[in-house]
Amino acid sequence: MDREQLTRELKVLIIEECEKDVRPEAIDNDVLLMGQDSELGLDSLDALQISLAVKKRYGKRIDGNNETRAALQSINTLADFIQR
Amino acid sequence: MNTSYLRGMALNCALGLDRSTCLAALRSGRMNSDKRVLDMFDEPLELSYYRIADGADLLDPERMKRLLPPVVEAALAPAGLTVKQRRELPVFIGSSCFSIASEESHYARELAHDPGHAMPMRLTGFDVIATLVRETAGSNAAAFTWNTACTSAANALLAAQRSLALGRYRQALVVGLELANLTTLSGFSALQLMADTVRPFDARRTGIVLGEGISAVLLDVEPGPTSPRLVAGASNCDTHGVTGANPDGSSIAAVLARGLRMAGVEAAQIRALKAHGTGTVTNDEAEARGMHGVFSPMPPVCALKPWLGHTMGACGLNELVLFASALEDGFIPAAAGFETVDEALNVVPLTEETTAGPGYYLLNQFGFGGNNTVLIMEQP
Amino acid sequence: MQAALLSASHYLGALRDDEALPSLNDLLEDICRHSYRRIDRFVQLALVGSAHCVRGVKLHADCGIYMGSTHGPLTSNIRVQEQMLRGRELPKPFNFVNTLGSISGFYVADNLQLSGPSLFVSRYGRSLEAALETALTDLATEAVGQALVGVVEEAPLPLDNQRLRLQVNADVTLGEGSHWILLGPSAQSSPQRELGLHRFSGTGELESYLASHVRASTVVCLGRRLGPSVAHLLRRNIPEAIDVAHLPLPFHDSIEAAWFVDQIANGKTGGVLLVNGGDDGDGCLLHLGA
Repeated sequence: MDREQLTRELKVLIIEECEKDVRPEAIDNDVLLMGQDSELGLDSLDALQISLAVKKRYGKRIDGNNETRAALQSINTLADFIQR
Repeated sequence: MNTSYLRGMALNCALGLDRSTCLAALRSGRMNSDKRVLDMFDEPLELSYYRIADGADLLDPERMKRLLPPVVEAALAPAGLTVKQRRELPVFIGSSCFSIASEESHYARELAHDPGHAMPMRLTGFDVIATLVRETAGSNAAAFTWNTACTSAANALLAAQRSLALGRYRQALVVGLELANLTTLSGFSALQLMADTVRPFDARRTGIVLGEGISAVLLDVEPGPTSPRLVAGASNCDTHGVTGANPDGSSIAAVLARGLRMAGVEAAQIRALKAHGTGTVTNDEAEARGMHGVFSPMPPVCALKPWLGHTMGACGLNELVLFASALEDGFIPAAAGFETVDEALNVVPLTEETTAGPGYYLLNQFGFGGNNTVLIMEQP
Repeated sequence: MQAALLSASHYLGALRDDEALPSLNDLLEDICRHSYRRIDRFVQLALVGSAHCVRGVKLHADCGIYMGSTHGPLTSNIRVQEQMLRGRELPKPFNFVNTLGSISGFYVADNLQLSGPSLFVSRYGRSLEAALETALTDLATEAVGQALVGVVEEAPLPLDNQRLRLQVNADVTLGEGSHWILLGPSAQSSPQRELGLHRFSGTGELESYLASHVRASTVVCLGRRLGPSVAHLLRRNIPEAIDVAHLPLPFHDSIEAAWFVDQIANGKTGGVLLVNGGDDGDGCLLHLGA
């Protein structure tokens, strides 16, 4: 799949799943997704919601270990994980 | 204010179908969790579970009708209530599952036979348990059903205690119920909070193991010959996060302090503490910090979830009955499976059964939605 | 048992079969401290109702929250069932978490910056009594200094399904409701603002109560679950008593709560009395201005 299309899809997925009121274009590919200090301020519950949606859409499982934390760091790391 | 006594108690859980069987299992160190596979999902789900050994299909919606009435009757038996007393007995229910197993079964059947008209939550409403309890007990008095996640039954008991204290009722029947259902099993799986083995406060803890259990308590202003006293308790809400209290333990310390104040008891007077101890990284952290905030030194800590699993909305009453029964039998149970101290928490639950003496005991319960509830009882 | 009524708010929205549920976003923006995401309809209704109730009132941080409902967070429960049984997949975390009653209290507590008990206690068709009695008990035992009592009912789409759940006819207009009362310790100085809850068993006790507490100006309403002898007594003694079942209100299963809170939110003087249950125990009187 085209990388640009994937990153856009992921942004839309995160916005929908986490009910964030931002436009996909406003999410930079390298910005931190998780944590109080991040742009989007997503938390562990959001991470679970995203993980479930990613698994359903792309068949890639993110579970509660270090792999998860690494994959959900940014849009780019998530896209890398899916395209691996 | 009137005093309340635990005049009658009953329990059916993974340890056994009645209190004496549960106590024997506790003393013998026999834990009964086994593996289940749920295959109604596209990907089968395998998990550990502490089931009631009634020999039925785990998700059989008729189990409540079979399992609940004997527990109610066992709790009422010691007091020998008259028909009039039964009729005037208010019921206080704590659950998080309610009749969802029936809803699930019904919807699944409709989907199989008539998917176009299938509708979930058809038989809805929080009253199924209360109706069955009232029928069994012969009660025609008020009914209250709590739905505050894992503090449901503890809150129900606390409300009953306060009602008796004011003299609104002379007796109250409190019931906690959790039976296996898909929603709880798959919901917690989706939250990735499940572990193979539950290890409260252990450095290697990774999550909860779910279980089912039904308990009932007859609260009475008159004691029986050996009845423990339910002294008081407190409840508060922490808005740090929907799935758990602030890990700094502040809201838990606050509810502990408030509970002790309401009971007129000093922290130093607590002989042992029955922890909530779910075995998740976050609960045990918050709970440990909260306890340290109030107790110095820490009293002996008892964690019961390795014995009966996390029985969700019913856990407050299930664990109180198990704990109070052990105290009556002269011992405080050990926390099975604890091996490695978590230095950051510095809470070491009892690893060996200990003699229980008369005095005050404190019980913790915490739930989703930031609910914290503490109960204090007195063993004669 | 009784307490002082500090304020009340009433929201009952009629729903149309051919329309989406009306957006609550404007109301939410008006009353929420910050915008909440991941909340469902039930939480939205709770936020709107509770915030309106306490507008302009000084709230103590230890104010307790006492919510009740016949159906609870029904939309979230429906979603979870559909995800699991129709979709054959694990429920989404937010939907699952939102199936719990305590979640609505969480958001109300956060919005109003409360840290007292947050309880969810119900009874089928009589949740206002259950929540109110619990609140009055906590006030009387000084577990809390104020009590915010709320009854919330959703009507998830499609409405025909909801009519099946409620067992009402196809021509019944459905509503979603959020009905709230703020109470403080009993203040004998203002009897007309005293809210009382009294249980009774049978017509004898009820007759005594009516004789000593009910004036000509008291508006009396008969609940749907009145015992027949009690209903007969009331209709005979108070011919102008209102039958909640005959009121042209958009329907949900806590309709008595809707009527009662509407009356007191609109500053009815002269007394408001709701009677339910009763023939063989389990009668309940909710009375403002006893």
